[in-house]
Amino acid sequence: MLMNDKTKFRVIDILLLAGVILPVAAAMAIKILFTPLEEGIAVHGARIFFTVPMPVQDLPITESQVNSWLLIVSIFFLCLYMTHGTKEKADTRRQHICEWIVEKTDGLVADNMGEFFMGFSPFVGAVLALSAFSSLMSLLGVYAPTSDINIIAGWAVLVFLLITYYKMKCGPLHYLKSFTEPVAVMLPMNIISEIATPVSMSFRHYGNVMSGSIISILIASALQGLSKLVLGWLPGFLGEIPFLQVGLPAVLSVYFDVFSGMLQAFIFAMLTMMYVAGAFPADDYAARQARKRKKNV
Amino acid sequence: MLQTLEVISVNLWQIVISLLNLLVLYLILKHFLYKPIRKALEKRQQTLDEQYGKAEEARQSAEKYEADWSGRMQTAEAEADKIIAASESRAQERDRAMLKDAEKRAGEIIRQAEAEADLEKKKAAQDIRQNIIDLSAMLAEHVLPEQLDEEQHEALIDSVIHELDRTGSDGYAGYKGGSR
Repeated sequence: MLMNDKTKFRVIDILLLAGVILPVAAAMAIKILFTPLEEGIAVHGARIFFTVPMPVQDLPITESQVNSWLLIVSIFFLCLYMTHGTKEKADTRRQHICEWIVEKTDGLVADNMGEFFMGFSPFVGAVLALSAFSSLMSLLGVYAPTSDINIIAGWAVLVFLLITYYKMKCGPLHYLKSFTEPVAVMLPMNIISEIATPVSMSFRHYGNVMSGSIISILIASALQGLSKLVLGWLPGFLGEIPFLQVGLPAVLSVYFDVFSGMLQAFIFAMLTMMYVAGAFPADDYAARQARKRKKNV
Repeated sequence: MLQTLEVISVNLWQIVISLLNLLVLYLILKHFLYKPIRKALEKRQQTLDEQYGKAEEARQSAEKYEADWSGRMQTAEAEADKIIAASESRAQERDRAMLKDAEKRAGEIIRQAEAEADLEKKKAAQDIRQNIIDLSAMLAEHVLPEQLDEEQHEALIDSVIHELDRTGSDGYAGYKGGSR
């Protein structure tokens, strides 16, 4: 090839960046193509593109599904881009950022879960990235996947499975016995609290993002009405422009889309770590391992 | 127009798909972000450890050299002190010897000079005596008309001289006449 290494590096960089941007651009294009023009301000769920017949329940392919797939593709290329050219001696900004991310998530996991769970740091990173970027997608005008309860319920169910897996570490009997503690009367309470964990996690996250977007829509529509009322006397098309919609919705968007989205991502990740680490009976597990070793010897 | 979901609508398959999405993203992050970065970090840590080990080694050897050299310097200093002291004492000795030598030589010179002066004095005294003898002989020849023979003459003079010796100054005390 005639290209030297530097040019090759640049070309790959550009291709990877295209891989990052194109899925997001595709999401925006889909949004623009499929949103009817005359639609007013309305509160509704994700748009359904088509429905796939499935056993038990039909699967509707919705905006939130498509957006989250596109987001995953985008993050995949982002990872490739960020780690492109990683070497032992870090002298690029992207490698510094990557190392910062890795070290921060490692630190979070080490602080909240302990050394036993160090393998969880990519998972925590994935939860943080998927949740935060999903919420931030609403900044681009597309439907944020986190305002669909099914998306977050999926994550919460995964966390529930992890919790159960770690509770089972000492055997199913130990797991079942843990429901009758401290006294047998607590059995129904314990079962409810077990189920409440994923439900509360998913509703907390979904409710925050969804309510944010609903409040944003309500305020935008209220400002439109107010604008018509106050500035409607202006001649011609000037009266049609909702001037009062300038400003306040942007400030609210900073709170509801950026701050709240980030905060909920962080809370979800923290709760994941807390619940999973809390579910693991470390002392019993250590005792069991010791017993096993003794039996083998 | 496309249909939309209700604001809250739970769908089993959507939940499963979302769960798998998170798992897929976890695998993506694990293999394409954490793995290469961890590898780079580990490699760097290895190099760092190596470098630190080398530095520690170098420091230890430098310390050893330093101890070695400071020991050597101390012995060298002591040796130098010894040499200086030895040379000083030797110089003093030589000084003393030279002084003694000089004193001896000076004494010798003085003694020699004294002896020479003595000799000169004796010589002068003898000269004077000879002169006196000659003079007295001459006087006697002129004064005494009668000729004395040689032996009588001599005896007379000797007696005179003895007379002189007895009555003369100390300078002539040691003088014993006779042979000349």
